[in-house]
Amino acid sequence: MTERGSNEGADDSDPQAAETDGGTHVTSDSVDAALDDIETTGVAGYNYAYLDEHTKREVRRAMLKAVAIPGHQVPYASRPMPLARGWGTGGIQASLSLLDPTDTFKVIDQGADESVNAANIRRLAADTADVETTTDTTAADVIQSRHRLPEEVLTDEQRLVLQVPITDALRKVDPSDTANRRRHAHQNYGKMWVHLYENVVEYGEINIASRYPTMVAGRYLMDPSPIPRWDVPKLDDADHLTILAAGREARIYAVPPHTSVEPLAFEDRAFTVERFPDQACHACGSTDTYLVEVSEETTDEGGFETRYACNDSSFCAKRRETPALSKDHHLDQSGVDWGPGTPDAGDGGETK
Amino acid sequence: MRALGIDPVHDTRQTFDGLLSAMSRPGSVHAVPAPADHAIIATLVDHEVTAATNDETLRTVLSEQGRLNPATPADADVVHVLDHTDIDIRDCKRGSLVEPSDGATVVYRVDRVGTEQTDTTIRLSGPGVDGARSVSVSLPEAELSALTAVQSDYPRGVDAVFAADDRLAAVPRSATMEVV
Amino acid sequence: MGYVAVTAGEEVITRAEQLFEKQRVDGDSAELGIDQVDEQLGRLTAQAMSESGLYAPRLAGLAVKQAQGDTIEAAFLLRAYRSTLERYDETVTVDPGEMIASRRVSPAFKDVPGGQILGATKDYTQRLLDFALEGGETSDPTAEWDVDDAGEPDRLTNVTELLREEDLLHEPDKTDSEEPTDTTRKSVTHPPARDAVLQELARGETGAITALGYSALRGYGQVHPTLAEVRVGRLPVRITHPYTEEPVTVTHTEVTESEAVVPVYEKRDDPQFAFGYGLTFGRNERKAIGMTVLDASIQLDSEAEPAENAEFVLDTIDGMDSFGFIEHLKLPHYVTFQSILDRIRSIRERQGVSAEGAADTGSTHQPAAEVSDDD
Repeated sequence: MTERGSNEGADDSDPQAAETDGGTHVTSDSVDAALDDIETTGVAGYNYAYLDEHTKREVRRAMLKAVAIPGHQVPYASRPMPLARGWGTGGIQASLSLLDPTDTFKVIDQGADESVNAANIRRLAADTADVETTTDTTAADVIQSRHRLPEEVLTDEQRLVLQVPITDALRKVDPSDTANRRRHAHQNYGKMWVHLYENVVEYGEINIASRYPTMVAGRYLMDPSPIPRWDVPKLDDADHLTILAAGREARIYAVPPHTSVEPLAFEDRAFTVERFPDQACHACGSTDTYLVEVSEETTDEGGFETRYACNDSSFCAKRRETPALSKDHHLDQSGVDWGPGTPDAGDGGETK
Repeated sequence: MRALGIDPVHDTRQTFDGLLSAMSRPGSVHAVPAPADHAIIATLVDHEVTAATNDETLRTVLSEQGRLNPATPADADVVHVLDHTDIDIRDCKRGSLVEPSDGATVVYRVDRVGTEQTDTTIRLSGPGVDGARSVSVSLPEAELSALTAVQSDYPRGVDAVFAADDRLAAVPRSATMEVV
Repeated sequence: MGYVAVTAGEEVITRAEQLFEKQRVDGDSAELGIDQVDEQLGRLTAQAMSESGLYAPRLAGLAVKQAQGDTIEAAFLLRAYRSTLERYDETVTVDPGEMIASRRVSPAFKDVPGGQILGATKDYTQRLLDFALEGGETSDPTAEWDVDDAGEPDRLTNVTELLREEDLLHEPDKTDSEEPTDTTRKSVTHPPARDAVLQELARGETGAITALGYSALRGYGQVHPTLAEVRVGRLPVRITHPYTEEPVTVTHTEVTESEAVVPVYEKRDDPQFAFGYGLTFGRNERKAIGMTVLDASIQLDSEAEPAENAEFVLDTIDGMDSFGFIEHLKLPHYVTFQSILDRIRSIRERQGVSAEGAADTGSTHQPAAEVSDDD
């Protein structure tokens, strides 16, 4: 333990001073030099894409194993980042390990490009990885998102990085990771099924809103991150690769393209997405996108009015230009299944 | 890594891109800096993992950078195979049920990977493949059958990469592989 | 809501940062110097260093100044900085017996070889606000002390060694590997090795360690230790010289160390005491002592109480993780909330419909106010 403690302190010393001084005490000049360095060097002092190559190697190794074992949570040594834990540090490590100067990067937070946190992450990548950034889903090579999938269909050229707060679907039924890892090892998911059953008994339906438990490739129970149920069907047999990264919990998992992702449900209690009955986006008129409600004061009576708007703000902007623009407008293919509002979505898309 | 002619930042990033695409779409072939096997080792290996390789150049370069943590093919996280007769893939680490990702990544240096009719053809299906995808590798059927056997105890298993000159393909353990 | 251009978000962030800075510089007081923070707020910088796992007193002073005194924020700045530094060597293992102790107390015995050295402490003085500090011109009360030049300090005998000589204290378990675990390089999996536990505790948030340690003493646990020693002092930091290959001291770090004896017998035949260990950067006695309680509690391997559950303790004591996740609740959550609203409305509808006796589950009618809820 003592060795570890001392080791942490070694970085404060100036290697030049140690050598010329014959290995005795550190001169105070080196500390001043360190402080000067922080002011003047700034971002220029960092490696391409901020992370050092050692860190990138570790993240990349974890990503490759995650892809090789779809749905399995691979541990990795998540580095502290200039963003706080809980604010996308896993996602950012994954993105920075993926990005190349020729890539175009889109970042959204709860569906919005203009969210303050998304802008912060975009800034870090633009400054340190020298990438172009965009708000256009169809123009992005890498998309980092907190808690949503875009409305427009992603292609096999694109990679999606989802920010994950809680990595294990089983956390709902047991706080212990040790116990849950054993369940995953033996594909023993009985406790989750019991939980879902109890939900139905108590409420008449499954009460899970987001973080809906899904079975990946018929083997691993996966937490798809707090995306709404609306977006869950998009992961099934997708054309794109999805990486799910958690910084605080230090796990990476993945859903390769063309992999089955099935939300858990009962025969007589099918998986359903969120409903927006009789609602449309007040800005573009869409009835087939995920909407969020906004309450505003009305000027006349001093009361409140609830309006609905598309959550995917960049797609909404496109639909304002071109009403009824299809979600696969940029593709030349048929049989698109990208959740509600796409031709072959099937029963998951309940928009009554 | 420059001693190997590999840029430590940009070539490794390009190689990783190829590896990721290859693992996500088993059997698909992707361009990477040549020689592919060196690029792959430079991208994956440092002292945090154990590596087995008979390639003297690689061993020297990695050791000089303090990045070589050597082990036998049976104990290594990354196994570099110059000639398939050097190892028995059945001895490589397969991970545990609780931590299957501890299973090895086996990087075969091969002459060819792609569509050469005279080489062994494998047909892949499962995660990452829409239907089925075939690819040929210049390795004997017996070796690929042995690999199939090692990958048949999912989620335990190894993940294989075939590195030929300036391209690679991969077969993760989640793929179903049939030697045609 | 019109489409807002991307730059608006970034401008907002910059302004928010500037407003935060304004809070620090807005008053009329003179700018705080980093040396002032380093010298006069040593406990604060020590906490920042200990929770970041980076010993760098002047950088800690800078971090504390930048964070306007918020210890976790300061530790966060230091940890983020630490992760950008290249690690080019590891120290030679140091024997804590080499500590140049400025303070050493042993509650277990009335007296011990080397003596009880009270050192710098307010433990026995009354907590009265000292209004003399308002004036801004205070002096060193030890300036007139008559101090002998006593030569080299004695090596203080480690109290636990005395107990081990009598075979009363359990020896530390041997580990298979020569290399200590590093949880900053390899994430913790359970059950954790003892060195991983100690590393996490050493970097843990002082408040969390104090609270959980207290819980064990308060009754939510079996461990109520007797402290063998608490020491505060300087430990040498040594590396192997790259050319001469001899160990060479490059600096010293101030640390607080504690060892506790737990009156729980490790084995039934040949009973021996169990022990707990704690070490932190800087002067932080409650954290070092809290660590010993938690280290000993976790070794009990019982999980009956939170402090004895390794997973619970390690999951909750890291300041970066806990502060980050708690504060992340401030991030927008309206997409997930919309989903939650959908669930509750659907369920209320279902219940409302059954109260009215109709079987129409496809109703889009919002439940009326008189729908009964079994509250």
